[in-house]
Amino acid sequence: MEETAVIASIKAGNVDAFTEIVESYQIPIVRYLYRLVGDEDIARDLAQDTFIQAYKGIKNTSRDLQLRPWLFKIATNNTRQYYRRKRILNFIPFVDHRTPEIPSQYRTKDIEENIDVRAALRKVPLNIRTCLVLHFVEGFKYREIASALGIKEDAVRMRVARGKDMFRHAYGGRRTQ
Amino acid sequence: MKCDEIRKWLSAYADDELTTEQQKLVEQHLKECADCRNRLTEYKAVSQRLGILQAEPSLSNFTRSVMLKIKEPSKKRYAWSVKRSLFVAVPLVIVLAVVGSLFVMKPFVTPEKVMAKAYAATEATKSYRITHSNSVRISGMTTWMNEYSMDIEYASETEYHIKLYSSEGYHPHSEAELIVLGDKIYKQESTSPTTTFTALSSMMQFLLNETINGHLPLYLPSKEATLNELDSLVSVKKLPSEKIDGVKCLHYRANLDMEKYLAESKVKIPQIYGLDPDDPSTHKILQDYEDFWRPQQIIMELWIGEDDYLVRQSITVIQPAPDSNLISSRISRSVSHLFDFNQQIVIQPPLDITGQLLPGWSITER
Repeated sequence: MEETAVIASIKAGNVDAFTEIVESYQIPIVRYLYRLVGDEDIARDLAQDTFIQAYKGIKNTSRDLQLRPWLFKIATNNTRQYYRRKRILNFIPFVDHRTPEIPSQYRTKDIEENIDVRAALRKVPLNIRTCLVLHFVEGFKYREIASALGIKEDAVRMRVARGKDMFRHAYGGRRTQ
Repeated sequence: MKCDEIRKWLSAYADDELTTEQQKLVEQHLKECADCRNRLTEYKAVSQRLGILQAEPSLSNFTRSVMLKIKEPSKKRYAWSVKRSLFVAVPLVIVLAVVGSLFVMKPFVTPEKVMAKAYAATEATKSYRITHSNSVRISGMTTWMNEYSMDIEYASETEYHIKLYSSEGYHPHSEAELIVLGDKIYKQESTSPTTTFTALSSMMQFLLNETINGHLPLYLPSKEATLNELDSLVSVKKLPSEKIDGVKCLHYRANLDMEKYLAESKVKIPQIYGLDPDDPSTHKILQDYEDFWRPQQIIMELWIGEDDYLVRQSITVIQPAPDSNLISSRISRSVSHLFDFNQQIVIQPPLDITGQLLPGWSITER
């Protein structure tokens, strides 16, 4: 079924049609959230909330709804809320530099690279990190990021550029340690 | 155009997000400016690095759990009506009665009792063989990478044979062997000439050091390791029984009590490595050890023979604890298969008929 037909069917009251949407978007949404929050279980929970909110909200959307950016927008909002909750609950600052040392004899280049990339990404502030992940991991064009986040394309361009410098800096710092 | 004007566009240029006109201007500038060319290379490296995060997360049952939540009418969980609780209560009584009658037929064995029997049975074992393999996965990735495997034969506590393999495809295949016969320790390594990553030889060195100090290596699957584990299990859960090697086995999942494990390691490590417990450098080592392990969670699955209580298989998963906030979510999983209990096992020294060491072998005496 075409995406628009699926959406129309859900609007007409066919709950099961939503399965198709979950099926097609679960991997990118969970991956996106995971890259933002760094924890698989939290990412899954946030993704679940995202789809449930999407289901509730989809009935009130206009006919020209762009589903993909819309879903990512909900996911991004959920992440923001998650961090807000966490800030309120946690008086202790979120420590993310404490990577456990894997005994060097068990490390491989790939594993190290992956750890370093993720750690460096976590050093980039959330609003900029969202742009980096959407562009480089999820393959969004700047225009699509702008629409997903509700910001101007120029702002996306600036955030991606700043994000690259921040990432480069953090990654270089880890590598030369 | 000047560099700082171009710089504003350079990142977008690397991402192919400029208009054709802007692109031309940037390209013109790049021809003349090495600084900006370097910056461009760096930007491209960023995109390549972040690209490795495209690996797909593992998802099972995700759609189902979302759809269930969507279809489930929102209800107040605790405000059950009498009618409703009757629907639950009546079948519950029936279930309890059936379960109860099963207990009458078969005496109820608590996991604690089974673990105690398994401990006694393991302690009484003289000889056995183990195959062991270890794999790792970075959380969020679906593939497990096999790191190494080993085959071990224990004829007794002072006579054993370890064969280590690093896996094909992960890093170049290599093998190493250690034969311990009383005070004599024989060693052999055959690493492929292209090996740059010598996990196996460092592991071998590690095993050798520990063996020379007169201890069974701390992390080697063995009777001692099994006893330690059986002694530190918490929140043991029973799973459906399964057959291993044709023997019906009780099957449990449990967590390893990290506090206990750490407390014991803190005593054992200085002993094994001959460190002075009062030396500040020993404190540092133990602190590092604790910092590494405390945020981890060790989950074990055990298959214990229903009649002889021998541990026939164990799976150990080491992963970041749920509340640990670790970013390096490395999950390691090892499977140990134990068999040939109390069979006669003879360990031969690697010598030819004239008593000379076979090629590739060396000997250390402790």
